[in-house]
Order: sequence, then structure tokens, then C-alpha cells
Amino acid sequence: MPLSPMKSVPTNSWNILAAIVDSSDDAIISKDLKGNITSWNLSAERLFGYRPDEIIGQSIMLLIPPELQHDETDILAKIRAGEKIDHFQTIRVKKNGERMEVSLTISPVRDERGVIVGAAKILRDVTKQRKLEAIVRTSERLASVGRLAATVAHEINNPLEAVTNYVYLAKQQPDLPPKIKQYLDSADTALARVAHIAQQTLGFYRETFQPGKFVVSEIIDDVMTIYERKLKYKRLNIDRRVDSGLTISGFEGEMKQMLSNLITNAVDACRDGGKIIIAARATQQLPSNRHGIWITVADNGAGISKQDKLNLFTPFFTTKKNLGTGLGLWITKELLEKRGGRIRFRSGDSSPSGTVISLYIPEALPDSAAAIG
Amino acid sequence: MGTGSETHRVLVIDDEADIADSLTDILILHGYDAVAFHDGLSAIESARSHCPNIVVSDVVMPKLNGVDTVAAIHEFCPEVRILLLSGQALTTDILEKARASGHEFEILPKPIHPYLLIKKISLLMANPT
Repeated sequence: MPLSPMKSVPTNSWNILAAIVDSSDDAIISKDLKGNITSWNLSAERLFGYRPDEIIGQSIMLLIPPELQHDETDILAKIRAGEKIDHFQTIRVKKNGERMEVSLTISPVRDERGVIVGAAKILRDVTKQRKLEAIVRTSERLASVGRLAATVAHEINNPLEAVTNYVYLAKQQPDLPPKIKQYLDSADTALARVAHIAQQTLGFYRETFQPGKFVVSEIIDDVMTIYERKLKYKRLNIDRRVDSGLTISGFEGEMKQMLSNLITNAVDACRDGGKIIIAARATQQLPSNRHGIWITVADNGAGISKQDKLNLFTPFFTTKKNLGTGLGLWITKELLEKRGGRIRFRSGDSSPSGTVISLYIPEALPDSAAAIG
Repeated sequence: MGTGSETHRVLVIDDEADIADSLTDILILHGYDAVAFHDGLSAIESARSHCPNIVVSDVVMPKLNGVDTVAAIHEFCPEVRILLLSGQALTTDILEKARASGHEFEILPKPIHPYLLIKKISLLMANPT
């Protein structure tokens, strides 16, 4: 047993204490004031993967990630001063290099004369707990997305309805000068575009119609009209590789919304004069033999950093600062998964590496989707 | 314009006066006998004395919501055709409640282009209830 009994503790009591330490679910480790490990219980072995004979006598730094090693100096200083450190949240490294989030409590250990000779650490792996907390936070954010979208949609759609009506009424006036008529026509087209974008990007547009069968190239045409100006302004080259006659069943608004979210990201990622490939083809998934289509949008833009990839489908996560809602990819994934599809992406870490995002959309709709009315 | 019928009375209900008034003007332009209301209660009062052929109503309104308004009108004007417009999708609760009491209404998203609304109304009038 690595812990050395103190004089004041009878041997029998020491055995009991040692048994308690070893049966604890928390890792219990002690170290001297130089930071060398002096004891290591069974849970420490289970959590970190080191056997006592491998680790006792080694520096505690072995367990601390390089970027956090300066913390140890502060910890030892506090221990020397007789202070206790309670529930310190940090990261530690296992023998296999894997990192875990831990909660640490560190107390000074004194000898029989009361002199501080080292420290005892109680360490708990809180990785799972943190993950659960993250899930709760995400679901709270999802609920707030819903509330926000409802409010924003209402505030935008009502004035849009009024202005659309006024433009329509103005156009009905007899003997309009041709120039005014032309202005009103342009206003009408612009309003239709705003209405379309509001319904698409706010994402909570519920279809009031039954699902239908659509020609994929026509859906792409419709979506591309939204971006015409932007494409022209950035001089982007669009390469379309869409099988003619390819069709898909579903809700038109949802299909357009998914595609539009991918295209807007590609357009924003591209530099001036960049290139976007939009491809669609029929597919048959094995082993289920499910029919469906793959739609791919590829750009030669900035690419996605390693860190950003982790948050790609998190609501409100955006790399576009004030320009993005952070909802596009999240909504796309939600819509796809609702109908049994999936999304995949490929992007390099170094800029410019480009990004390829593909959506698999199954041909058959789940029963629940067909029932939305 | 004359695409509608002179005899078809339409109640247009929206708490946003701009929308109720402009839609009413559009419907009048298309030959309907349209009247604007800015709350559900006054529309119900009007319907009590003269049953409309169609009610076009917003859903989310203060005091009385659109679904409860049209449900009340439908009680004493069973032939009336209903068209609901909503600027937000989260009206499911209101619609579910109406469904539970036996009312099934169609809801169209705002903004709806007047051209489509007129088309929708003439289709409603062409089909028997």
C-alpha cells in the first residue's frame, strides 16, 4: 500500500482507511511538495490507466496538459500556505493521451508535528456530466430559437403583407405613367424576394399544402434566382451538374430552404471570382435499397476550421459575425433528419481549402411528414 | 375588375389596420362587397346582422384570436367560407383547440400576394361548402 501510516494512526485503523481510499469511486492521489506522486488508489488507476508502480515517484505534471502546467505552481503555493482547493474544474490527461474534464479537491497533508508535507487530491471525471449539461443548454437554446423565430417572423411578415398590398393597389390605378408602372413592378419583384427569403431563412414556415413531386433542376432554378445579384456582384462561376428529369417528393418550401442554406454559405465562403458546383444525382442506398437523391454544393472558398467544424450544426453558431443567423445548417439538418435523410461535409483546415456539403434525401417520406397539413 | 361577384360579402379581420384596409380595398377592386374590421368582436357583431360569404382573418390578435372569431361566426353562419392568414407558424395550439371543438380551418402564411389570395377566394366560392 503506497500511503505511509502516520504515527498517530494505529495499524488497524490505517488498514480501514486504506480500504476506504481504495474502494472510493473518485481518484485519490497524494503528492509531496515537489509535486511527485506518493500514492495512487484503484480509481486513479481506472481513470488514468497508470498502474501504481508506473506512476508513484513520477511528477504530477504527467497528468497535466502542457498548456495548463503553470496551474501546478499556483496549486503547490496554495498548499504550502495551508489552503484547500475545492472543486477546481480543469483538464487532465490519461495514459493513452485522451483528455478528460475533472473536478479536483486538493487538501494539504500534515505530518504528526503539523508540518505540511504534501497534498491529497480527490479527482472526479466530470466529462459525462459536462456533456449532459451541454445537451440541456442546447435544448434550452433550441426553445429560444423557436420563440425568437416566431417573434421575428410576425414582425417581418405583417409589414411585408401590408406593403405588398399597397404596391398591388398602386399598380391597379388607371393611367399610370409607364415609368411609375415599371417602378412598381420592380418593387413587387423585390418584395416577393424579401417574402421568400424571410420564409426560407426564418425556417419555421409550415407548409399548408400536401407534399408533391418536384423536378430538382426547377427547385435549384428557383433558389438561384434569390442569389442572382450576389453571384453577379462576386463574379462567381456556377457549375451545375444536375441530371435532367431528376425528381424528388417532399414539401417544396423545405426543399428550397435546405438548398438555399447550402448555397448561401457557399456564396459567402467564396472569394470574388470563386466557383460553386451544384450537383444532384439519383442514388440507391445499400443495404436498404432505399431510393433517393444526393444534392452536393461545393465551393472553393475559405473552408472550415477544425474548431468550427465541431459547432457546425449548433443553432446560433455563425462564422459570419453579424451577417449570419447561425440557423441555416442547423435547420437543414433538422429538416433532413425529420425525413430520414442525412448530411455530410468535407472541408480542409487550411484556407482556402473549399467545402463540399452533401445532402442525402430519401425519396419516400416518413408517414408523419406526409400528414402535415 | 369584376372577377368576384357583387353579391359576395367578405369580412376582412386583422388587428393591423394597414393590412385589413388594404386587403379590403383589393377585394372591392375585384368586385367583392368587402368590409374591414380591426378586431374579432366587431366582426362577429356585423356577421350576426348580415352573414358574410367569406371571412378572411388574421390568427394572432389581441382579445379574441382569429380562430375563435371565425368559429363563433361559423356557429350562426354555417355556410360561411373561412380563410385564415398568419404571420407566424406557431399557431398550432390555437388550431389544435379549434380542431378539438370540431372546426377545421385552412391557414395561409403571410405575406400572401394579393393575386394568390384572389385566386384562392374565387376557388373557395366556386366549391360548395
